[in-house]
Amino acid sequence: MRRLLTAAVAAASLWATACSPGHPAITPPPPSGNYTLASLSGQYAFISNGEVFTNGSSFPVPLVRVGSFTADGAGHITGGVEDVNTAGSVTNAVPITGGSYTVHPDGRGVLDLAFGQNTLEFGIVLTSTSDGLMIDETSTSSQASTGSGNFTKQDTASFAISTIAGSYVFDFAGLDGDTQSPCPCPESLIGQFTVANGVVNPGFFDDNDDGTLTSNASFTGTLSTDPLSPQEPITNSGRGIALIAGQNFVFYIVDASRVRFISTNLGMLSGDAVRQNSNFPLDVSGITGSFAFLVAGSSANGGLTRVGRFTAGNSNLSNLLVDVNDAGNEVQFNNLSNASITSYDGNTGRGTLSFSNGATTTFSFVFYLSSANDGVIQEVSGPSGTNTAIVVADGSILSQSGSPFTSSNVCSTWALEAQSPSLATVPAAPADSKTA
Amino acid sequence: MKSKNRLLLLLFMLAGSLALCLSLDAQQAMPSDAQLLRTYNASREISLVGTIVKYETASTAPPMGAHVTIQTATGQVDVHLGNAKVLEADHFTLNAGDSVRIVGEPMALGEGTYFAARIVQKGTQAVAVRNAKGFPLSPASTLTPAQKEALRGVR
Repeated sequence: MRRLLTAAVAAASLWATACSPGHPAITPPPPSGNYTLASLSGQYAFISNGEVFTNGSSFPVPLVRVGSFTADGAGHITGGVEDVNTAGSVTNAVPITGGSYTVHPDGRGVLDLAFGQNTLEFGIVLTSTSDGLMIDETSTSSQASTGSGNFTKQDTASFAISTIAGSYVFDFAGLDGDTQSPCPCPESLIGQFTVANGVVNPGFFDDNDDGTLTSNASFTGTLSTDPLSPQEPITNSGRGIALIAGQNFVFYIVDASRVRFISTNLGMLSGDAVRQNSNFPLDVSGITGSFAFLVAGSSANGGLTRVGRFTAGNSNLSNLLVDVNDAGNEVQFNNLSNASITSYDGNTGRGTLSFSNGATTTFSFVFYLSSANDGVIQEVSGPSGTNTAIVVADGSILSQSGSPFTSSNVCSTWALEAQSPSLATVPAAPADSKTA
Repeated sequence: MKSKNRLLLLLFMLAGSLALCLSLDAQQAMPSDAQLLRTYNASREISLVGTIVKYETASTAPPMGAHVTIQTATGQVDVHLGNAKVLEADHFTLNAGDSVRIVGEPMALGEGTYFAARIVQKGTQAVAVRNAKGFPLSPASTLTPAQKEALRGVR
């Protein structure tokens, strides 16, 4: 009994010592790494997607912003411009008048963009000196906004219409321009176009607008300078305007191989166009190896995310694994069948694939490859022959490298971005390894 | 006076029969095919009439979002309302004890089922929480043209 009492007293003493208010809190080690203020230097094209509470509003509305800022490598933002689309209401070419930023050795920091008296605040993490991830943390008297996105260093030498040349694959997602109540509704627009000197011809797209599918439609379009914003010539920030698949956009050139878009009519779409690599498969036999894919968007239940992998070879898909989070309901499919690439067009990089879960559910997708290793993908699952889909979701497809994967060979420093799937209109940046 | 009471009684009986009928309809309309229940189809829509037992604005139980439990003539039904901010934007409040009419249809998710609401009606006020394709709405769907115009100042 005395031993028990002694043990109890000792345990109580230890607990009291460990948990008393006076006990020093555990302090994490200071961030380590090689990043400095100089790591963020030059012009960066950014995209951020989320929601905003405006002054006096009791509810948030969707918001996407695309723009360009200039960092001086010493903690100052020296200028820039952005275009904002708030639930279909567009504000064009808003000048960034200044700002500041911090960078910790591990790449994390804060980025403030000033618009006259207003300032937007972002948390950032550099994934290299050329790019990084950002979250919107703005809370001012005029607005409070959330959102996530990324920024990529721009090649100022490419700031001309003529440098955007060749064939590009695009993925624009967000909300449609349906003005009939109750909308706006979810939309995904993916496709491929060929452009020379600002003339887009031909282009092809697959649209999933609120579950209504338009498949492999052709279009012509344009890329040009913006006559309505002469104060912001394309040579300043790579900014211009475009007509793609019948919709108007503002774009920002990252470099000759990547352009960021934000729609300026008919809804709220945004995303990147990426130049097709000369090695993109000319026929289905060129689609080989292991691929991981991710689509995010909306279902009738709410937000939807699917992430999975497959091995491709001779039109067949094997070793399929898919994890699904449908409005909080998590399911893993590891016994999928009837998996194949059902069509592929080597001229455009467009293909379709499908697989089944038992005899009842077929998952169908359209994809456009920008190279043998990556592309964009849109889900089109729905009753066959109806041109309708039961979900609106899209994302990216990437070849896997470095397998077999082990705990040690995926051990690295990673930057992670997560966002609400129903708002996932930002080009996928699921997790990037960091290099300092 | 007596004939007035009879008329009132008749009206009550009629209303009761209608409510029971709608509730029975709700049950009879539930297809047994689980696959069918994974697709929202406006042609399957039915009405539920009942009294609110519980209202949650942000349930973490799938499907995430606003849920209301209503007591119908045949039992309690879990109804998913989507984004509670849509109701808030329309100044639409729900409290235990409120009588409501809900247009929607049963849906399957995982191993369970729930009732997906498209329109919620309390008294004379009705609010759409899903579109005709079944996708939950965002508060942006409630914006007036003037409110949309005011958003142009957002940075």
